[in-house]
Amino acid sequence: MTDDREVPEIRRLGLEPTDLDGHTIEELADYLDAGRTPRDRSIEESPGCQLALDALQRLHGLGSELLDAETAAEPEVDPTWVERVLSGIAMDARAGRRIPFASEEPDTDLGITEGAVRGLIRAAEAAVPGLLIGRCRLTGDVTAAGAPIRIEIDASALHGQSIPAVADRLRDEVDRALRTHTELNVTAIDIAIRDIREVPTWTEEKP
Amino acid sequence: MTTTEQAVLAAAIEGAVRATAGVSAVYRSASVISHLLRAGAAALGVRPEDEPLVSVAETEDGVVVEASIGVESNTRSGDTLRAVRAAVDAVLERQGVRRESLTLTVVHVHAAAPEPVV
Repeated sequence: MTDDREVPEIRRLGLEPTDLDGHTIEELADYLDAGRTPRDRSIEESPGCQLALDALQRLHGLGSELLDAETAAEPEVDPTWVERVLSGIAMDARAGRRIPFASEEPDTDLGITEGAVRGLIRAAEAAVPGLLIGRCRLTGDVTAAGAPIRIEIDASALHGQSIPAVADRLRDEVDRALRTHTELNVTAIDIAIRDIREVPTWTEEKP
Repeated sequence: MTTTEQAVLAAAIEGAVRATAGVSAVYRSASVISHLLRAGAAALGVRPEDEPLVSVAETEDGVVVEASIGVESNTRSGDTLRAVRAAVDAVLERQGVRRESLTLTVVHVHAAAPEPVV
């Protein structure tokens, strides 16, 4: 379901056409804007598209205020962080490696995809107002039960927030999600806040 | 097992998987065997929208079953996978079909927004 026009756009983000089952992140954003109607089965039945839609939905949930503030702050709009977030969403939606669960039966193979786990990690950003995850990585052999795994997260936060507090809150949420949905032996969750964004009304003190 | 019987079995398994507590959706499996089964179905004129999302292939030793699922975030993926395994086995037992292998994969966790900290 790709055409020649779409492929270069996907490749620009470092993706292969199969990562979002032939769809582009722009198509998914349009689909979300249209209220997910008319229903597109190729999107709704694609785990990669669902993971990307989850992240785009949260991005939309932050409101136009964020994008407006970015634009106002930088007359020469630097697309860097927007592109970084969008490409991160698309890259993280790839199924990736298969992470096993213990099974008492040798003929039963239970697992969760790395893409689903990255989706879980991304969802944790909702616990911290204004925080956006740009990219996350699972370092280590996730296919081997018990192998030590490091989680590496790049994120951006709002100006005025305590970076250690934001990182601690995100780390707690990611840890809780991973313990609930995986049997990974997570040895560290490294969080790098790579961008600070300023949205005036978000950083004003609440009455 | 004829192709039709195989499709009926796959549909019954899919129904049992969907009915399992904690399962939010069933997705198309992306494994090689599932792609081969879909290609075979297409060659027989089966429309993609009519195919069961669960893959069932017959071998000399029984059937190979594969399913990709979404789970609710407020459940534990491991527990849900084990409940799905039990549901699939119950269908196979009722139909008198021996299972050679079963591959179940969580491909999406349907996230509920956590409580924001203000």
